[in-house]
Amino acid sequence: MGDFGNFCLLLAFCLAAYAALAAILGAVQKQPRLVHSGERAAMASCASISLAFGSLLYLLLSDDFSASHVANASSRALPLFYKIAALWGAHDGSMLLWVFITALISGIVIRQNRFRHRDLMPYVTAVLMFNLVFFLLLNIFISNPFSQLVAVSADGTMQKYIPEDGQGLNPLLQYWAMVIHPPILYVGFIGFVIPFAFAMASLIARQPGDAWIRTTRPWTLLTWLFLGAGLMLGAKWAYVVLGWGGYWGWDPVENSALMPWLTGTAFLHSVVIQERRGMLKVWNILLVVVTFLLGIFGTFLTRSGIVSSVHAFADSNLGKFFIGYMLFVLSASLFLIAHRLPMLKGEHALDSILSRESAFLFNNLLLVVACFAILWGTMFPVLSEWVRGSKITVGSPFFNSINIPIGLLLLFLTGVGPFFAWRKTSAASLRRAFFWPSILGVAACSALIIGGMRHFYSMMALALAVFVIATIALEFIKGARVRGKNTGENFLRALANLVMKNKRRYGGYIVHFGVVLIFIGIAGSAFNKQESRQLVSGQELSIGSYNLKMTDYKEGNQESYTYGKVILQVYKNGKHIATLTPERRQFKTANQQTTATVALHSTPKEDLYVIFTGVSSDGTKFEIVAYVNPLVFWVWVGTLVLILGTMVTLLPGHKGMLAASQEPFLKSAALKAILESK
Amino acid sequence: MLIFACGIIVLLAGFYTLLPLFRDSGGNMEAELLTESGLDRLLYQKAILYSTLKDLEFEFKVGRLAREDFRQLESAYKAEAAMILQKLDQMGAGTGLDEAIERDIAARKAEMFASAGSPKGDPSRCQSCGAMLLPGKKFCADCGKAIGDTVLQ
Repeated sequence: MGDFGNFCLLLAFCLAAYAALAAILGAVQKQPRLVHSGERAAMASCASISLAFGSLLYLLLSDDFSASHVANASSRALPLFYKIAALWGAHDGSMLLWVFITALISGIVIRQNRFRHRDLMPYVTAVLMFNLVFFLLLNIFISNPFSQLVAVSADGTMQKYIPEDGQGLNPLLQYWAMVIHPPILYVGFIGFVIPFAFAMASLIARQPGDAWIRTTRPWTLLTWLFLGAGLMLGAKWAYVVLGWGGYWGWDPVENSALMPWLTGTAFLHSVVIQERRGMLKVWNILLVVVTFLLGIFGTFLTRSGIVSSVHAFADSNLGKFFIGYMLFVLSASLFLIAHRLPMLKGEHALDSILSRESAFLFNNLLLVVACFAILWGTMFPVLSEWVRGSKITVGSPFFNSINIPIGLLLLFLTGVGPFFAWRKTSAASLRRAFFWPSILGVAACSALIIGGMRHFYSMMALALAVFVIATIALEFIKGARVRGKNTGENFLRALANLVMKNKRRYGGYIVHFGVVLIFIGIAGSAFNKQESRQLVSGQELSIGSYNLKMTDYKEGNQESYTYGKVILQVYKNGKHIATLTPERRQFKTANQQTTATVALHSTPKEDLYVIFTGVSSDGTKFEIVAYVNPLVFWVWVGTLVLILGTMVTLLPGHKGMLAASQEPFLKSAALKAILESK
Repeated sequence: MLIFACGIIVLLAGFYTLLPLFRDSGGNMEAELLTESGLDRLLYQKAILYSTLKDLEFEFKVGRLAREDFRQLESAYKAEAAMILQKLDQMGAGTGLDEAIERDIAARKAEMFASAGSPKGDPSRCQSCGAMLLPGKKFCADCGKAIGDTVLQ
């Protein structure tokens, strides 16, 4: 089966290379038959990669340790669910997952557009397949999950080696969120190849319209959603599994996923200006190129071993290939943009500084600055090693000192942005619109000061959160009232119809509300508390208003690990509220890895977070670390709201912009019917 | 067994991929017709402007715009819309999607046939409408006229 997997990858490589060449040749020589053949080769390549993916899955499920990846990432004792997850539990297999998702997304887009954008599609196919060829090359020749283990005997001869059992999946990865986290995050990284391919195609084909933006908007939104969801699943995993008390640590790999999300967010906003006003065409293409490159950069960071991270795979020799590829993509894109600059001239100029365009521009500027600061901080250890010979790591204080003020400014813009109209807004109407939300924001700030809060940034975040929630609520209320007045509908029906008739705008507001909730959650982190103590049965540990009384210690044996757990009775202000059982597991793998399983009591106000970190050398005392983390609950709720809002914007529309974007498609569909009737 | 399976897959992939190369070139016309034309862009700009005007009115009603600003912006957008409608009129469009499609097809066909010259005496083209005939067909795929003796083998 390993040989079959290898064969499928090689075949996919040949097909993808042919697809790229045939599509380009077909476009240059105006031979639609060649383009069709290229598109079919792309689909066949996608099918072949699916077979390779299926082969690796089969090898994992059948405990066939002849393949190196299975021996490295799985074991006989591993539960079925984690055997599937083991496919992306180590370097080589995760590369195959990357290739599989790339092929799948490329295949779907090529199929979706077989009757649309016929002038762009040959180049889109070529860009997508070129990208696939690069990753297939790495997957076949550098990082191959089907490669076989060999044993070198005393006389120097090499023999095929099949171990009795595999090394097992890293216990830290044996958690539900970690199983779905990589595929979701990969979709988020890879999906930006679609707007990138269309943007490049529109430049190559000298297509001056916004067709590439309209067609790729749902893809961009979906990719952005997956990247955000992947980030938050990673944060949840770090919080619940890694057991260091928090959910975000400015780890290089966390940063590498946050950067494309920031530039992607900037793109989603600035693209509206191009649609509405025909402005920022060069900027939008640059943002797409940067976002796509940051996605590649993310996987480069994880796979090259260039930075140390809890997430990173061990050192590999992939780095130079990634650097070469990124440099090629960057220089080719910049050359193309420079060459087509006259075609990208804006249709309008900025009318007024008090306009939605300028609010969006400011938002773009902040997001890009935040992204650059994170990039600088992430790469600083590498840069300092190059320049000074010693690795200087940049810690959380650097990232916080830059990103917290930027984050607060962005939060402020989230609130004021909707007050601005396109082109210009009068100062008087701004004053009117600002009045009530500002009063509420100032009132919230005063209440926090009176309540004893002295932490400036947290206070600002919470006051701004109140301000923004008030503006969003006002948007919905005013809109529903106007609609109710015009149509005679009652308030609730008018509110529902208002959202359904303009999903992009109101879905966007729901996303903003989600972001505000996440900010509220983050603001709470300034007030985290931590206590640790060695306990024996009957003893207590106090933290905040909680008392944790140890009542028992139990040990047990599971299929893949042995465990010891401490039973803690939790009292709040003297009243029993929960029983928590933090656990330590020792896995039956070659290296006997030990992990701590976090015990969590979560409420909207705060999380009680308890870890059992070890037993004293005489085996009588149990080390317990407890944290009280205020408002973390709202980070997860905010994420769910953000997902909900994005889904609202993605709902198919009946009228307006989306319908307009479908016009060429309807036309194409009609033409397709005519052609097929022949 | 493995070699056999791989052989079958290569054959299937090769057949699927190369098939379009041996088909007739009906795709030429398809490629011609399915590109985004200037008409598409104008129709899209028109839709965007209509939705912008609707939004403008809404923003005025919720009190985000002063009356004077509203009037000024409304007349600017309307002037832009008028220009686009004028261009659409010049292209003979604007009365509906179906008609636009028909006109687009007719214009492009006329262009293609004009460049190919008169069909008289050309057995590969319909004598009635001038369209290219497909091999083995008894009727013209474009106008439906019987081809009679000029059926291509």
